[in-house]
Amino acid sequence: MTAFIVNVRFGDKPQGSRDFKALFAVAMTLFVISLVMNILSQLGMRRYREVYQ
Amino acid sequence: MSVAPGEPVVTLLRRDRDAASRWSARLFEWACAFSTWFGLGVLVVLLLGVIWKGATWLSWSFLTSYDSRHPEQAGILAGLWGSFWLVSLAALMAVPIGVGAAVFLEEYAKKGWLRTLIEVNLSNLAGVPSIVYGILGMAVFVKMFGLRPKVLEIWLPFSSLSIPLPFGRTVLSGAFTLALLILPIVIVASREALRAVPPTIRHASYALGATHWQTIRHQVLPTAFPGIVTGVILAVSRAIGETAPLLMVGAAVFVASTPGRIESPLDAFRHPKGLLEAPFDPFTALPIQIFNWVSRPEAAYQHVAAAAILVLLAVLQVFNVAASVARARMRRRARL
Repeated sequence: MTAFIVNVRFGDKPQGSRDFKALFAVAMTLFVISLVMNILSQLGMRRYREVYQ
Repeated sequence: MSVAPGEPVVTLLRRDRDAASRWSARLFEWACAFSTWFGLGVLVVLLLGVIWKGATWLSWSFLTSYDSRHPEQAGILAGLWGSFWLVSLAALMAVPIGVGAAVFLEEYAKKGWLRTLIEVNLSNLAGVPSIVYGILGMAVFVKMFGLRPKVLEIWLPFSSLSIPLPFGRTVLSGAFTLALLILPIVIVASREALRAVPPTIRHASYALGATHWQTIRHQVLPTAFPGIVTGVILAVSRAIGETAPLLMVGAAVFVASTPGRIESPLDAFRHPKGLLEAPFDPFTALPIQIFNWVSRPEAAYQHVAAAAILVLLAVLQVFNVAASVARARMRRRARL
C-alpha cells in the first residue's frame, strides 16, 4: 500500500484525478489498520499489566 | 552413566532428570546467544558491505559539492544542509510541545475518558506508517487544502520576509511534517521517563513543603532528564532517516543550492538574512539523495549512495555520542 502511494505520487496521474484522490483513501486505510491494532494491544495490556508500588 | 552397586533406583532417576534439565538449560542459553549474535552478524555484514562499497568514495569534496550528472563529482552538500534544517526546525517545534504535553499528561491531567482517548491516539500515532504523515503534510502544509497562492510580506526592523502561502515544497513544510511525525515519539518517551521517577522523591519534596510546580521543576524534571534526552535523540534519529514523508511533501531530487544559500557555518555570518530565508527554500535531504542515487541505473552511483549512507551513519553516531555525554553529565550532577 505504501508503495502504491509513492507510485501514484510520482506517476503521471494529474492532481485532483481519481487516482490522486485514492491516495487519501489508502492512507486512511493504513491509519485505521494501525488504530485497530493499537486498540487491541491496549486492551491486552490493560488485562496483563501489573501495577507496582 | 554407570550405576554403583548399592545405589537406590530413585537417585538414579533423579540424576537422569537433572541431566535432561541441564541439557535444556544449555540449549536455551545457546538459543539466546544465537539470537544475539545473529542480529549482530547481520549488522556487521551490512556495515562491511556499505564500507567496502563506499569508503573509497568518501572525501572532503564529496561533503562540499552538489549532486552531479557525473558520479565522480557528485556530492552530498545539499542533502547535508537540507537534513540539518529539517531536523533542527522539526526538533525545535516538537520537543517543547512534546515534553510539555508529557508533563501535563503525567502530572496534571486527571484520569478519565478524555485522557484514555488521548493515550490511545498517542500510541497509535507513534505507530502509523510514516507515509500517512507524508500525505497529511502534502495536503495541509504544501497545498493548504488548495488555498489560492499568495505571498505574505512581513516587515521586520532590519529586513523584510516574504512567506509564501501555502508553504509549497519548502523546508518549512518538511519540517512541520517531521515535527508531527516525531511528536508522539517524544511524548511517549518523555512520559515513560517521568513515570520512572521514584515516588519517594516526590513525597520527600512535598513533605518539605514544596508546591506541585516546585516539585516538578526541581525534582521530577531533573531526575527524568536523561530519559527525556534519550527519547528526543531517538526521535531525532528517526526524523533524520525518514524518506517517505519527505518524498510526499516534495523534496526535490536535484537541487543545486542549499537553504538560504548557506553552504558553510561561516555563511550564516556573511549573509545572516539567509537564516530567515532558509525555511522557505526548496530542499533535499540525505535519505532522499541516497534513494535517488540507489535508483539510478549507473553502477558508479551505487558507490556514491554507499558513501552517503556512511555520512548518514556518522551523523547518527554523533547524535548518540552527544546523548550519552549529556546523560553522563546530568547523572554526575544529580549525584552531588
